[in-house]
Amino acid sequence: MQTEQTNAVVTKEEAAAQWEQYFATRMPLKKHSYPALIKLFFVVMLCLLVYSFISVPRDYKFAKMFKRAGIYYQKGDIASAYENMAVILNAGFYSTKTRVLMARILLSTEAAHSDNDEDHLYERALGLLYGLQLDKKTYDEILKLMPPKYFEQEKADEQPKPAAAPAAKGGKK
Amino acid sequence: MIPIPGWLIAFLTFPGIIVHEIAHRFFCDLRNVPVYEVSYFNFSRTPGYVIHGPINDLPSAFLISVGPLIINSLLCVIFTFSSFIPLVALGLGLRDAHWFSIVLMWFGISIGMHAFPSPHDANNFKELVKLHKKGFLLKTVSWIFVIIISIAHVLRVIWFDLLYAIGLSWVLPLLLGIV
Repeated sequence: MQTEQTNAVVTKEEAAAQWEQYFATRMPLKKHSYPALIKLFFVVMLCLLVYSFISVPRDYKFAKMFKRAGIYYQKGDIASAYENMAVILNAGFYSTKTRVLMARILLSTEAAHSDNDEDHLYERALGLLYGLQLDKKTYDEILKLMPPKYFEQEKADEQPKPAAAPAAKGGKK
Repeated sequence: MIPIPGWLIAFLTFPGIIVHEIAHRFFCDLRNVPVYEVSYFNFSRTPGYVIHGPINDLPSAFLISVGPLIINSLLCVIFTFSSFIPLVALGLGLRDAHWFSIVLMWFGISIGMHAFPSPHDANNFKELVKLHKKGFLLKTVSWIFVIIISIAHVLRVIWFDLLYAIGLSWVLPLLLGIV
């Protein structure tokens, strides 16, 4: 039996007598009856449960696809990995995890490393990585996948640009 | 370590306290043990309690004591699973996830945090085992039960209840292989 704590030291016999008196002067509550607020709490819990059951099948499918995509990528099956990740990103799951994996997949393709990148896979990979805060390990791994054109562009960006020629005085007549 | 007042933790995890007391009440009603007073949530040192009549048989005592562990743990697993997928498995995190998923996760974790019966509940069961002069095996089981509950209660200072709830949220994802 739960009781409120008191400071008085009560013997077992005294406690038993107090409880007997308590039970003698009270009627038990009606079985399975709950206050209105608790019933409201039940309703809220039920709504949350219903939402859970509705959202789980869809989200579970995407979670399995994400895991599969990771496994395909590790095994070198880039096409299958890409297929799975494309569905996940189209569904709106734009997290750091999903963006990094998709960027890795895109950068692992031959097209991203060639000059004939018709589908702009390299640019899409950079777009996915834009604005992300990455830990050193992930950053280094992605750097290893970057094509040479990335480093050439970085070097070019670092070069100081020549000062612009001043405009000629006088206009045309 | 900054001490956080108990009333604040109780307030932030009030769904767990309510479900804990409902579980006690539910099993009392199921086992025909009269209930005289219930506080599902309050701001005192005992944020929730159920005052029930004497329990005469051991299965009832066990169910009433352990009820919150069963019901709270089950509800924690269910509520956290649906929000685990977008928040953790797909990595959306608190910043990018839908607010509803965050509410579900808070609800589930709060319920899980209050799964363990109090040492008082465990002691009631132990006293009843002594009273019934039951055999050595049942006495040993009841003692082990009391010790586990007491240890769990003490470890709450290092957030054992939160770790337990987080652990529960990983059960289904691990079983279903999505992490």
